[in-house]
Amino acid sequence: MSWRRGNDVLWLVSLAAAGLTLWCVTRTALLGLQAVWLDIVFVLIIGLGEVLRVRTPGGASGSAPMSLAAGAGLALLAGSYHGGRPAPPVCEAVTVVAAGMVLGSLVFALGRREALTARMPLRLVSVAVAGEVFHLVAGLGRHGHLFARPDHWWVVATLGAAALIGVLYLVLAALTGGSARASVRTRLLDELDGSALVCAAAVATASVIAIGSWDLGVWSAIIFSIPMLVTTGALRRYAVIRQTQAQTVRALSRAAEVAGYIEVGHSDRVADLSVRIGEVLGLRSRRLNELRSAALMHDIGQLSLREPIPGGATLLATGPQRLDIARRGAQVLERAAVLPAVARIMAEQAVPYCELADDSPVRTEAGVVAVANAYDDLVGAEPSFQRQAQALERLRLGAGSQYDPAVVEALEQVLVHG
Amino acid sequence: MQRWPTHLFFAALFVIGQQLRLRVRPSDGMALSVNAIIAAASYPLLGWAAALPALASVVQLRRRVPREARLFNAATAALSAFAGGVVYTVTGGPVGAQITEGPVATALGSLVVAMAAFTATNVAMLAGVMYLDPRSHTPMAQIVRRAVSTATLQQWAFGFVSFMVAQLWLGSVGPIASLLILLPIAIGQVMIARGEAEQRVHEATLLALAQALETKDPYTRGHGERVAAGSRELARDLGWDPAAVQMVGYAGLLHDVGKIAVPTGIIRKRGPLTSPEYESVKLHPLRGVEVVRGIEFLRDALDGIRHHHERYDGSGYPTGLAGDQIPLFARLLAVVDAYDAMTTARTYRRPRSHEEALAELTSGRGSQFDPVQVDAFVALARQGTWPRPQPGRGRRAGAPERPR
Repeated sequence: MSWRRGNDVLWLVSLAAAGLTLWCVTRTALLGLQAVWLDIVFVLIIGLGEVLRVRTPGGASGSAPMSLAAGAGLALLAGSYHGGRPAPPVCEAVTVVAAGMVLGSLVFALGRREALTARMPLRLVSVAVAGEVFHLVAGLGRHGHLFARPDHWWVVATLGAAALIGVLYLVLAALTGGSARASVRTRLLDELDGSALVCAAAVATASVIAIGSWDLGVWSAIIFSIPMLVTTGALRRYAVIRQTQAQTVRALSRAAEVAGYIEVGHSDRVADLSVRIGEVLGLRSRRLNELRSAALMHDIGQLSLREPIPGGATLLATGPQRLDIARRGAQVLERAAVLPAVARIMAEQAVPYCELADDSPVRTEAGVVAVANAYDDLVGAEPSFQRQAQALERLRLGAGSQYDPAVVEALEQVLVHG
Repeated sequence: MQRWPTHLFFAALFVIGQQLRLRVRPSDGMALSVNAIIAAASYPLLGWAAALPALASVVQLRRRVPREARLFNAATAALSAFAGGVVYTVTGGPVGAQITEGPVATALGSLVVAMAAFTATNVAMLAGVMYLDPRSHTPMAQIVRRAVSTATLQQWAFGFVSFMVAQLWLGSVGPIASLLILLPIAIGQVMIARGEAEQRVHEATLLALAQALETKDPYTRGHGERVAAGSRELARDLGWDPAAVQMVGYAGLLHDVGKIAVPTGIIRKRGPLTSPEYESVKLHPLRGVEVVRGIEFLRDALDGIRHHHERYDGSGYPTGLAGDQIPLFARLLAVVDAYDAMTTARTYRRPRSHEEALAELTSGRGSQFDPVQVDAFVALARQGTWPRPQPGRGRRAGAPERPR
């Protein structure tokens, strides 16, 4: 996820983050810093957390679980004590979070890498809003330090506020991230799928940091950040493996291109179009990934042909031949016992719509690859308006028999709305 | 003071700890020893007596470990915990009732020394038993290096966490809050496990890429996998570092993938190739590089794929490099590849025997192959442990089993 024009919610959140920062910094400047050493330690931890940005398992970039955990932990401290001394108020906590983010971004900027990430304002807003709400509700109008003793009411309130931060963060991430074509519901489910666990780990750490600070002071944040550091390492390795896996799938599709069986670029175009159609059809992120892989590799079965089909267009092959090629392509994956769902899409994309089994779990995906493939065979690398119209007309004629009507309709939407 | 409930509690923790397999990072086979972590929490409660509950680590439910090994492990844990506990107390770490008083930094300082004592005792015990074991060939430096690896670092990090959990437990908030830290730790483990699963998927996808060629040429079935296994074994025997061993395995798996671009008629042809046909076969190393170029982590393997048909005297293809100009990966692959090609059936000839193939390799020593690689390979092959036939895989019906 990066900065993108037309994403209104992201602009709103960023604006809110800027406004909150300005307000909190001003207030802190007026009140003076209450806990300088605590602040410095948290700035360093949050800064480190921002430097160690990772992709979520769902694929969204710019997640920084350690930063979220430390920032939320500091905000939850507000109104209580750390190591016997009064903890800083929420506005100071937000100032510290902003300073940590600036520090982390500076490191990125010095390394000439993209310093800003859309998830940064999300983190700041969630921490600030939940911190203020916690303070308001727990204080019920009182001022100064709300909790004189570390009683159970305080623990429960801290846990509740931590949960609020998590929920707020996930909802904002779903609203600002994901594909513009996907519905809010799909994006929310994808976000839950992709980062709910990491987010839960972060807010649990935040509450431990806050609760632990009562006795342990600043050491609570330092020591209890360690599990998040380990989790961040695991997430980084996971992201690298996912990327490598995508590259390997791409290499498989390249094999057929290098061998001259299919035109260079065909697989990429079919994959892109398939994903766009899949988004219009409301497919979830995991299924979209499988769809992309299957679309990239849909032609590798052609490697078993003695001679390439002229132009590589499977539309020119006869029905049984097409089925045979698709089945052999799927076998490449099946032999290695890998990606069973992708193999199934690859096998079924050559089956005419009316013959597809009703209970096939990949019925939609197979239909999407079939339509995207046929469309690309008809239109080719250089689409003209006339060719597009003719291709669409031909696909419409086949809708219901050869092609899935819902998919043809979705293709039309993609072509019209881009 | 009545401390037996605390002893029982930590004994239970040690027993549970033996059944867990905490991981620090995927697929490097390093399981974290939880003993040091549990011991760290017991110092402020038990002092030197931390050794007693550590004895409970003798209980091993899941894995079948020989009795001697279990006794040795428990003794090591107890001795290490004893050393840690004594050092913790001597350096002024707060024990028992004083724990929540005094500054946290002092307690952490004592803990650092205590964990150093634990690790040192642990390493000394391990090194001692490996030194006494006549079957072990591991050099002392390697034992020590392995003990002081990243795993130890993380063990220390988690030691700090568990020490702080103990402080919280006894502190003003009580036990419930400190249990919360288990959630992020467990989620970290889930993420590591997911990474491992994804890694396995990726390995299998690479295998699928290597096998894509087999849709075209059934005779090459299993060739890539055998060359991968052989290259890894040879590289390990030559003392390469683990990362290079793994990478040469990938290069071996994918070295022939460019044959996908050679026309099927030529690949399946019986009898000698004409000159233009041979020219198109000679392009396959470069085509292979073209296919896998996009896979970033294989960058080091590309040289092996590109140059595996170079000859040591410079008459090979595609670039005619000679001697040490040929990348090391390629020189190693050339030997393993040639052996496997000779000992399996091809369209145009029957397979040769193990001895014939080794003789052929030796005669190509210095002309076709790097002498170092050939000598190491022949020595390894004569030990009789390798190559292992892989049953049910890569063997065509009717093809003779390779002799051991």
